[in-house]
This record gives sequence, C-alpha cells and structure tokens, in this order.
Amino acid sequence: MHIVCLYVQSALEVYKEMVLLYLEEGRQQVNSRCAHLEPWQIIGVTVITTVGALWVKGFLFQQESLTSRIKKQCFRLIRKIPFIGGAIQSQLNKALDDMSASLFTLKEGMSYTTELPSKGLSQAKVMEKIKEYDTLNEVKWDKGLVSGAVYWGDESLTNLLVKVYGDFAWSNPLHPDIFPGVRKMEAEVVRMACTLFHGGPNSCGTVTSGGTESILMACKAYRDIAHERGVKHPEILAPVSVHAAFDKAAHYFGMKLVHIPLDKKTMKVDVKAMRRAISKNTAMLVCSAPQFPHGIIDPIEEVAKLAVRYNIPMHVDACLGGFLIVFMAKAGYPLAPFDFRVKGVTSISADTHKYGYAPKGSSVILYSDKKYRQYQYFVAADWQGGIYASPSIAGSRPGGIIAACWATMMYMGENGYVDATKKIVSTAHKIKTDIHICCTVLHTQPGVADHFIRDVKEQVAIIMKNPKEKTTGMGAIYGMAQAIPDRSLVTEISRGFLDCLYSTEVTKSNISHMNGNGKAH
Amino acid sequence: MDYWSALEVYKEMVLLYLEEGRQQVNSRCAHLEPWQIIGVTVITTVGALWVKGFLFQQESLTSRIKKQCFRLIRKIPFIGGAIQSQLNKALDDMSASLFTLKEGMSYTTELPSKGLSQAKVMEKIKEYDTLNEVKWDKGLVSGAVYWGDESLTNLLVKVYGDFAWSNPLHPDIFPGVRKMEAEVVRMACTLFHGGPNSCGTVTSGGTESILMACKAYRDIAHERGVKHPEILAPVSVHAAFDKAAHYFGMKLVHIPLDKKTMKVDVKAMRRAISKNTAMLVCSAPQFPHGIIDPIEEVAKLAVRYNIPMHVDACLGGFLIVFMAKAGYPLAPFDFRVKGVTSISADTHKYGYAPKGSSVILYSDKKYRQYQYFVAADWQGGIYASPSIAGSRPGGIIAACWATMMYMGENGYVDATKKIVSTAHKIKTEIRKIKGVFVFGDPEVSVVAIGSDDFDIFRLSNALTSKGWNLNTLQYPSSIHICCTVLHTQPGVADHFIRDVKEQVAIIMKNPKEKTTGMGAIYGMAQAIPDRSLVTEISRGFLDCLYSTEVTKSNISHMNGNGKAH
Repeated sequence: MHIVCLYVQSALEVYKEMVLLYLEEGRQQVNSRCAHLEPWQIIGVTVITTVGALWVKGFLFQQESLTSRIKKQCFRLIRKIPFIGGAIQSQLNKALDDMSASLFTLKEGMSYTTELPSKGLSQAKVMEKIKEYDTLNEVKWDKGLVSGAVYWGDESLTNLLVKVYGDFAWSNPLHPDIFPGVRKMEAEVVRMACTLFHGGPNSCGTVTSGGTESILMACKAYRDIAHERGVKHPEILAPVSVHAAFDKAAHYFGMKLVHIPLDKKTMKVDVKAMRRAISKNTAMLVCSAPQFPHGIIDPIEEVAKLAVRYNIPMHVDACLGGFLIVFMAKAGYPLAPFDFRVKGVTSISADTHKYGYAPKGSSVILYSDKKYRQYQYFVAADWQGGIYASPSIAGSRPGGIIAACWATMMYMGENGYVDATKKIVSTAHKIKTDIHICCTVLHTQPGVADHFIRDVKEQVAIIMKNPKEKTTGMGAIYGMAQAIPDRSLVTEISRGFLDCLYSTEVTKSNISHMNGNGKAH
Repeated sequence: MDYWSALEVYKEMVLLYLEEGRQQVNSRCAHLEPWQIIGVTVITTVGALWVKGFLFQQESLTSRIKKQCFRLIRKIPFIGGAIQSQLNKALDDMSASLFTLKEGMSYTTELPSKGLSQAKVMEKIKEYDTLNEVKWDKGLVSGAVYWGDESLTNLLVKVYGDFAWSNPLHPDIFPGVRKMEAEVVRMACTLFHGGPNSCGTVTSGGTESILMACKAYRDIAHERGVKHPEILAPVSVHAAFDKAAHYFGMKLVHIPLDKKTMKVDVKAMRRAISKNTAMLVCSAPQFPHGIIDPIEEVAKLAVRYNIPMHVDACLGGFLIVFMAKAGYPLAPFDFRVKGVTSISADTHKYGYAPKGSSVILYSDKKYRQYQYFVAADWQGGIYASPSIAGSRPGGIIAACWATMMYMGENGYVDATKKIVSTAHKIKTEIRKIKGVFVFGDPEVSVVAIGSDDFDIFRLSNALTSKGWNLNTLQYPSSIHICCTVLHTQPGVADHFIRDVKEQVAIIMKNPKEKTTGMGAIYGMAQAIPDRSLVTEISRGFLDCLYSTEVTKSNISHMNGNGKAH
C-alpha cells in the first residue's frame, strides 16, 4: 500500500515537472515574441484580441444554429441577385395572386359586408343572412368524410350545449365574485380531468381555450423555472413529430426547440438521441400520446426515466387523443401507462373540445404538483388598475364555453366516453392505412369506415398501375412545398394564405382546397 | 489660416498627451514580463465586459438589488420565519373564506359513472346559478357585463347553436365563419378610419389583441437587429402589456403621467426613446381613470423616430368611434392620425358581443404578417395560424358578427349616447361633493374617484355594503365606476350619486378613522415594499379559484373586480 502511494506520488512528480517545463517554455516563447513590442502595444493587441474572440464566440454560438443562419442568409442573398431574385419574386407573386383569386370565393350574387349596416337588422333578417353563409359550406362534415375537425356534433348534445351556453353567455371567470357558478364548474372540469389522468391530491391545472394554449402555458411555466435556475437560453427537447404549438411556444417565449429524431420504423421518438441532447439548458422533455401526424404514442416510460434521472420537468401532449386514451383500458384496449402514474411526468395537456366532445374553445393543462402551476400564472402586483392576476393567457374568458364543456362531461359520463372510445378505436383499427385519417365518432357511423377502405383500395390500385406518374392538383402542391429548399418562400406563401382568410375583396369563382386540413388543435 | 494653426495646436496637445500616456503605461509595466502583461489584460478585459453585462441587463440594477435584498431578508432566521408564517396565515385565511359553497353543496371531482340526462344536467346547473349573489343585471356592478339584453341574448344563442362545432382553423370546411370573421375585421377597420390597406384579425379578447401587437413589433425590432426590444407605455396602460413583456422577452418602460390630467407625459416619452424602442403605446381611454392619452402628440414622435405606435382602445373602442355621431366629439385617435400603426378594440365590451372576441387592427398589411406564426416544416403539414390559438370557437365569432349586424350603426350610436351622458352626469355630480374629487377629465365611460381628506377605500367599503361592486385602484388609491348600458337604466345613476353623497357625508364626520375590512387589505397591499409577497398572495388567490375542497362558509369580495379585458 505504502509502496503504491509512493509510486503514484513519484509519477505525479514527473507530470508536475513536465507541466512546469511546458509552462516555462511557453512563457519564454511569449516573452521572446513580444520582446520588440512596447508594453502599451501588448496591452492594446491583447484587448482587441480578447474582445474579438468573445464576439466570435457570441456569433458562433447563438440560439439559432450557425448552419441554419448561414442557410437563411444565402437564400436571402440569392433573392437579392438581380435576375434570379426578380424571377423568384415574380413566381412568388404569381403564386400569391393565384391563391387569392382561387381561395374563398363567393357564390354568384354574394358580396362582403365592409361596414356596419347604418340601421341594425331585425333578428329575422340576421338569421336569414346567416342561412346565406351556411350555403357556402360544401364539405359535409356530418357525413364522416372529414378527418378530425368535428369530433361528434350529435344533435341532442348540441341542443343541450346551446341551452347551457345561453345561460352563461355573459359570464366571465375573470370575475369570480360575480360569476361563482362558472368558477366552480371550471374547478370541477380540472379536477375531473386530474382524476382521469390519475393525478394525486396535489395534481392541479387550469382550463384553457385550446390545445395550443395548453401547450404554450406548460412551456411558459418550464421556461420560468429554467430562468430561475439561471438558464439564459432554455431548450425544449421534443420529438420531430410533436405538434407545431411547441414551435410556436419556442418562438413566443424565446426558447429553443430541439427536435429529436424518430425511430424510422416505429415512428416513436429515439430515446437514446433524447438522452444525448440533454444539457444544462434543457428546460423540459416532451412526449406525445399520441402524436398528430401518425397517431403513435411515444415511449413515455423510458423518457420519464430520463426526466427523473436528470431532474427535468416532462410534458405529455395528449391534446389530440387525451380523452380517448384515458378510456381505452375500460374500452378493452389496454395501453402502457402514459399519465401521472408514470413517475417523472409533470404535466399533461388534453383537449376537451376534441374527444371530450365539448364545443370548440376548451382544453385542460394539468400538472402533477401545484409548484409547477404557479409558474404558469401571471401577476402584475403594481398595476394602477388594481392587483392583476390571471391564470392563463387570456384576461376575460367566455364562461359559456366552460359551462358547455362541463355540461358535456356530465352528460357523457364515464359510460358515454367508454362507448364512444370503443367505437372509434375499433374503426381506426379497421382502417390502419398509410394516409393520415383522424377518426371521430362521425366515422363510426355504419358504413363510413368500409366506404373509406374501399375508396383507398380502389385509388391505390389505380395509382399502382403507373406508380411513377406525376402527382397533380393539391397533392402536387403539397409535394412541391416540401421540396422547396428555401423555407422562407413557403413561409411567405403561407402568410399570403392567412392574408386571404381576411380578404373581403370579391374575386372570380373557382374551387380549391389548399391547407384546409393540414393542422389540428 | 488662423483656424488651421489653432487646430495644429490642438493636434500637438493631443499627441503630447498620448506620448505622455504611452510613457506612463510603459514605465509602469517595465518590471512586468510580457506574458504577465497579456495575462492581466485578458483578465481585466473579460472582467470589464462581465461587469458591463451585469450592470446593464433588461431588468434595471436597482430593481434587481431590491429583489435580492428582500430575498435575503426572507432568509434571515427569525424575521424570515415570521414573514413566512404571516404569509401562510394570510393564504390559509384566504382559502378558507373564498369561494365557499352553500349548505349541502359539494364538488364533483370525477366523471359520473353513468352520464346524466339532459334534464338532470339542466337541474344541476340551476344549483350553480344559486351561488350567484351579485346581481349584475341591476346595474350595480362596474364593467363586467356591458349589456346582456334578453332579446340580444336570444339571438346570440341561436346563432351560437348554428355554429357551435365550427372552427376557423378549417376555412374550407367552415367557409361561412371565415367570411364572418373577415367581415368583422373589415367593419372594425372602417369604424377606425383605416385605409384600403388596413387589416387585422379577430382574437379571443383584449389581452390577446395586445399580446399580438407586441409580438408583431418585437419581431420587427428583432429583424432590425435589436436584441432587447422595449415597449414605451404610460404607467396607466393595461397589465396585458406587462404580460406581453414577460411572455415575449421584452422590457416594458413605464412613462409617468401628468399628475393633473392623468395623461401620459409626452416629453418623458420622448426622452425614453432609444435604439431599443420597439413600440410606443397610448390608451383611448385607459382603464384606471378613463382618460384618453395625447395620441396626436405621441404619434408625432412615432413618425419622427419611425417607431410603430399602438393605440389600446380595448375598453372603450366601440364607444369612441361612435361618440362624434352621438354628439360628443373627440380629438382624432385612430388611423386618421398619421403614425398610429395598430389599434386594439374589444367587441365583447361595448361591442356587446358575448365574451371571447376582440379585434386587433393594423394600418398596413406589412405589420400584420409579423403577427402570423408559420411552421413550414411541421410533419403534420404546413402549419399557419394568424393568432395565438390554433382551433378557435367559430360560434363566438358568428355571435359577434350577428351582434354587429343586429346593432347596426344606429344601435351603437344610441347606446353610446346613453352611456356617455350617464358617465358625464356622474362626473359632474361627484365633482360637486365635498371631500372627493374626480381624476382628470374623463371623456368616455369611466369615472375614477379619489380623496385628499380620507382613505378612499373607506368609501369603497361603504358602497360595497350598499350593494355596489366597484373597481379599486392603486398608486394612487382610488375607486372607479365603469358605466355600461345597465347603468343607463332609469334611476341607477341617481341612486349611485345619492349613495356616494350620503356615505361621503358620514365619512367626513370623522375623516381620519381607520379603514377596516377589504379596504384595509387593499391599502396594505399597496404599502408592502416587497412586491414578491403580494405576488405570492395573488398566486394563492388563483390557486383558490381552482380549489375543489369544501371549507366553512364565509363571505368575501377580494380581487373580484380589480381587472378588465
């Protein structure tokens, strides 16, 4: 033992000698090179070099990676080259013009209202005008031909909701003393959802206006926790397949979204890649249950182990299917645990306005513990208008929609949800094709699934006769949009599309289907 | 020639000083080896940059030092413990007294195992209605509900029912709602005198409208290369701007008000402009005192320095556009003023639409595109959304549209006439009462009351006991009433004025008496120097909102109405 110690000591001595030798050598090198310089020159050069080096470091390591910035800059420069840039711009303008000419056209004889009627219309007149707006509707969602969008819309349920909405049309949970009934309903919706996702007594949450707000709120809470830890540039680690609301959250809240690749075969997130991406900047891990593009549930238990090991909050995005997966065990389709039963899961988002069958405008964000939720809150203690405290993004909120959501849950009850889940999941299992179709209760109507399968079979057979033929129409536009390397062009066209949504200029009639259903939440 | 020789002298002098400096540096470093000089310089430079970074952060140094001090104080063994136990007591009291249920009621904490029938659901809802003790339809509440007329409600419910399942996220499936939304925006643009390029979007409320404008201007500033964009806004501006700054990583610079008029101090605004300024803000009118800021003067600054300018008309937007026709002309406040680039206005306030709709308008499309969010590479398809939400309730947009069509210009002008004349009447009568005063010269619907002789929160307590539900304000202490159509019902304004007169007379008999109850809490909350305590208590209040634990019965009114939007 003693000998080993001595040996180690002498070995260390040798290393120490060596280091000292090198340092001495370095010192002499530096001194000899600076011999011909005056001290003030040395100081000047050093200051400039240090500042320069720090600038270069700052330039290289920004929130947006260097390659992504270089790519963007290149495309920006290309678009400034006289001829090429002009050609691109004119093509772009043409695409935008085509779009505005073909999108959202009115029927013969219809026009836009661009100012208030100088004299208010009677109730009958208003209802009559509304009929006109209904005729614009050409897609028949109630026949089950649309993927997602409307998740039930049953007539007796609609009647109930409208009655409830009417009772609470003017209510606003911002004023809990004036509208205590809505306050109680909101608290109960949250509590019922916590119970469904197996939350403990400390589990909590808030009602939001939709899946996007639920996701935004979770990201905001975890950003603030990371800031408090001293992290300057918090990062979200999420599968590539995660909903675009996480991109939005990163953009809004100054975070960085790190996309983790999927396993090519299972389409589940690659847990090893997730582990490698964890750094001191990591503010949260994300899994989807299921994700929107392919309907796959990520390996939540494995990712949760990482979350526990590295002590990072973890969000499970169940916006789309949250109100299916909680009933699947009882419906006879057991799943691996995905909710607060899994240690490490700190928050879950689930849309009541999807498979909860409530009308549009409601979702819940749930936390495993109250300590997370308080980071979601916003408080302005010094506002002149009084102490301002709001739980989520909005100040005023429509109480009628919360009441309708509450009524839907009470009306459905556990048995109603289990039945609906059974029908939908069995329909989806029957279909299991490659193109994305989001099954709803509407698709469980007799014959709809068979109809879809028959159509897909026929169409695939036709396509396979000539598999290399070019795609035409809307399919071609989607294909092309994917192939454009300069993503800023796609962004610009998409902005043009949004502009068209708000256009009140009448254009010639023409039918088109762009971007109709490429989104959820 | 003289001129040049004079310059020569200066040049000589500078050279002399430089030479002197050089020698000083050289002689001081004479005993140092070059590697030592390099080492010391590197450390000093990095150190200096760190100090600069530490001193000039988005949050000012004084504010950080203050927070750190209070944090340390709360860590001192005895004092910290005492503060914490007081805080816990306050939180416990709050959770015990807030939102209590009636005898025999309980919370539903899980789904009923078998769904209830429609009749049962409606019956249960009746129970929830009985919780309601404040009668807003009698006009005793400030703001909150802006009309709620029964025949309008019937219409809206019918319209909502027709569009309950619609969602503007899918414009090809619901083209009718798409058209309605576009028309609501266009009608609003017309009201605010927007040109052919003016545009906007419908949002879920005033806060979202304000958030969206700030987000757009932040992105414009980022594009200009600004790293830490700043919002310059009057102190009186709505808290949604604080929220925007917090969410989007901006800094909100509060500009003081003129003490007398309660309008923003334009000179102070000018001095605060820097290369980091992303936007200027005015309110028309602001929430606390109902005063319209000097929009034309601020707009001149916006034009001169080429900065976007937002006019927040969330509260009163759908009053001020009709005031000229109602016989109460105002100075220009909208897109007629050059420099105004965006306006927010809530259709669910004086637009009389149901809760959940507002508009954000821009003078030009080039601003709106910065509000949009596009994820071009999403696996689920190209994702493009105009505002915060993805899915949105189409039924509320349809109901908003129907309200506007049903009201028409004449309906809005009539309502505006009634409301503004009521507010003016209250203003004139309150001014006659000895012991209280009205802040500034409110031109629209809000009248804020203060007092130099007694604690105004005593009046707040007294009026609460008379059944009134007013807003309490801080910095300075005051209370306000926000007049709605409900206050124009016969006798309501007179009743209010009479109650104020009587109560002030009672208080003036003994003006220095101590404030009790909720009023005292408001006063105390203002006086606490450690604002983090107030924040913590407010968070506890929000926790209570979601509490489903039954506590003993007790009545309280905290924070009920201290907010809008």
